[in-house]
Amino acid sequence: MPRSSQSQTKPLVDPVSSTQLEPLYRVICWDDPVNLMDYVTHVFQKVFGWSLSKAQKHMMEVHEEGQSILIRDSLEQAEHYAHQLQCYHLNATLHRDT
Amino acid sequence: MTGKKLKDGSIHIEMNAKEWSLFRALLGYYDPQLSSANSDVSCPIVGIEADTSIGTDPILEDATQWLSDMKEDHEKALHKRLARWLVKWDERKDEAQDVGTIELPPEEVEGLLQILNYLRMKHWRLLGSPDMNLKKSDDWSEEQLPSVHVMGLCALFQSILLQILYPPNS
Repeated sequence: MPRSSQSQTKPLVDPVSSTQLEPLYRVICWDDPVNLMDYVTHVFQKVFGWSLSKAQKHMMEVHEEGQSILIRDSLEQAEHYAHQLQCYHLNATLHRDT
Repeated sequence: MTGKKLKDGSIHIEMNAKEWSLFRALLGYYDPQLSSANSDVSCPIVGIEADTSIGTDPILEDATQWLSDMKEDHEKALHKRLARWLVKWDERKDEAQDVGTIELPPEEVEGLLQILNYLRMKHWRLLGSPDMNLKKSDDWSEEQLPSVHVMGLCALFQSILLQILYPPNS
């Protein structure tokens, strides 16, 4: 096969995958005075599949600092996680990553 | 009340007559249609600076609305599941031995935890969303006491469920 055909099909600019262009979204969990700490730890483990220690770390961050950034992901994934957290009645919001 | 987690992740709980009637009465309060309008958990708690982009970014506005709709659908589906559980559990109640038995597979344990938490949130809001740590028993009026009790009982059953899921020596 002639080498020239390769150069004809090669794009001038390196392709950038669509996921690289997508903005990322943060899922933030906010503190509230009603959810039990053990419950919040359980929810983090269930929703994100985290270990107990990682879930506890984020739970304490929520408890002591008022909020914790749980994850940065595509809008679709972030929506999925926020939905899961809200099903458990945690105070979770979506934010565009800056 | 005694309970254990089985190898497949499901739970088995036995309650005596008093525990069972309390538990049964508590779940009777679950009605997602009554409080979906005032259960907006997507708003940050007052006192914490909110991200103002939520109100201006159309993508985020759509996402927030979608989340709200999905949550409402989820709660209605849970209500149907709860009705099915109650029929099943009532059938299993051993009147002779005065014992109620609950068996739930892993995914349904999550549903029960969510229902109990929903009830706590709902009654917390009915109380005016107070900081419960700052409240003493004398602070509540007679009208508020049922909600205080519902919250306490839900917390108790939630803690028991979590202890069964995560035994202290595991």
